[in-house]
Amino acid sequence: MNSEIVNLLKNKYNLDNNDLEIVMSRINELEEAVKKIKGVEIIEDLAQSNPFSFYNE
Amino acid sequence: MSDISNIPLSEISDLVCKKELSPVDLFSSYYARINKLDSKINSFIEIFDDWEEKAKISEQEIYRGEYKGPLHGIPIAVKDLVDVKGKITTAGSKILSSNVAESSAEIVNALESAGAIIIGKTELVEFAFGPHGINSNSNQTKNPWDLNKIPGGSSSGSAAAVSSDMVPIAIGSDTGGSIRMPASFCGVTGFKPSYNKLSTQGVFPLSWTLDTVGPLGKSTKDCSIFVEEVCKNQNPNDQNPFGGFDSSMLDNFDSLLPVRLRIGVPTDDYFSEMDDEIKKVFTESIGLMESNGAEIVNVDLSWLSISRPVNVVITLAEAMNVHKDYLISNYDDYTYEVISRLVSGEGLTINDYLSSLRVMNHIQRKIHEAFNNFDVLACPTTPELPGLIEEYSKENLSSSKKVVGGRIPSFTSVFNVTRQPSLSTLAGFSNTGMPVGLMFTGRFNRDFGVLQVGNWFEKINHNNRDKKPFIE
Repeated sequence: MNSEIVNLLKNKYNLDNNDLEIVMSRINELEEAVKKIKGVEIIEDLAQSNPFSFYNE
Repeated sequence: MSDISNIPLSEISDLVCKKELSPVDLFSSYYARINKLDSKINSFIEIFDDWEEKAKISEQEIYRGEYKGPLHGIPIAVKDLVDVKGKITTAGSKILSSNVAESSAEIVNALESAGAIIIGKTELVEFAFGPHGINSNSNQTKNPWDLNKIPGGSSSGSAAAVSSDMVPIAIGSDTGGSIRMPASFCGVTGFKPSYNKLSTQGVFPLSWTLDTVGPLGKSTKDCSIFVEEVCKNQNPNDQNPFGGFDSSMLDNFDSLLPVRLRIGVPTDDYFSEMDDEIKKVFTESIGLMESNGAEIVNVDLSWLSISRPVNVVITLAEAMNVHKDYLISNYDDYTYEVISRLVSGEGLTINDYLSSLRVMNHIQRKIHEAFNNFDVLACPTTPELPGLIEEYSKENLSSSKKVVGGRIPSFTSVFNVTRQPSLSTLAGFSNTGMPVGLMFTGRFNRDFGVLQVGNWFEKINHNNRDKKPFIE
């Protein structure tokens, strides 16, 4: 999946090989971040939890 | 007049108020300092040519008895993503190289109402998107303590300018640590207020959910004066910004703080992973506070580590939305540092974003409860010391996986997600003479408490606070 995205980005944004190496690292970092976030168990009732309303407004 | 450029803002203000020093003297001193040093440091993008004229007007106002307060006649530098009417806001990018602001940002209006003189624009990471202080589109800002090392970012120019005494105080912005990280690396004090405490209207956004603006100064007291004056003069104004306290009360620490200050110190794996030299200075700082009467409360905040990925996802999702048009029309004009960040988010989904926002809210509730056990949280500002500028070139970055993500924002970025007030102040120095920052974080909207503790720490910490970078 990563290589598909990288090829797409390479063409879309005219990236060179050094750019792509950096992008690849950042994609891996981001995928790791998303995985961690999805692993968080939130007990509150989903219906009561508006993602745009923060405790600290 | 002897060189006054190294005097803290709080002392300069007293002298100006007593008419022992004039805004024109300040112009002469700082302008000469900038001319002498900035070709070595590269802090400034632009110095405004109306500075001297504004200094003369301020001088006349003060001599007529129209003194406006502690910022009257004080020169302030502005990170170049903050709009100043009639001036170009580049946000550190080629894309905005002819972007003239039609009006000033709210924070600029507030500072000018308080009598401050906005003297110019400081360098930054392109679009404030990066922690290292690298911008390949500009004259690279150097760390005044070692010109081969990164200054930290994204408010790199503001931190370097204050550190090298080219300006007494400067504006920065902070989405994941962009005030506190360069403050730590350059040995100055940087304060990220509670979210929305100071208006971000007229400040080019990175992430509207996490963005804050605040000061970088020589001391906590200087930052406190800045915040107080902006709060009083911004719209809507807050004449009582610290809930009845004001910056002149910072020194009455004993009468204002709880009977015994409880300092939370995270001891979990996430907050314990740091370089040995950082750990040494941090441990000494905690010992110093304990020997001066504070109670140290060890806490496990391992659950808070999720804030770092939450910050990464929210920032990227919102930044991509902000940049969606430029990514089509101007993608060739971005620096490699920033285009690589932006395009890496192409695979993000709306569910990833919404899940991050929900976790953010969850974390805010949990941290509120955790603060029942202590008054303020202390940890190092960054887990590592600044690296060499050359390590962050495109070629080196692509071959060195470790610096791409980087550990530098690990601690700071957490407190943008919790939206709490957070201060970085100088704690000590590494063996190689680089500054090491200590970060205090307080309850949401209790900004004065954090400033009080920072001010107290600066008074008890005599660990080379008077040491200055040698640039000449």
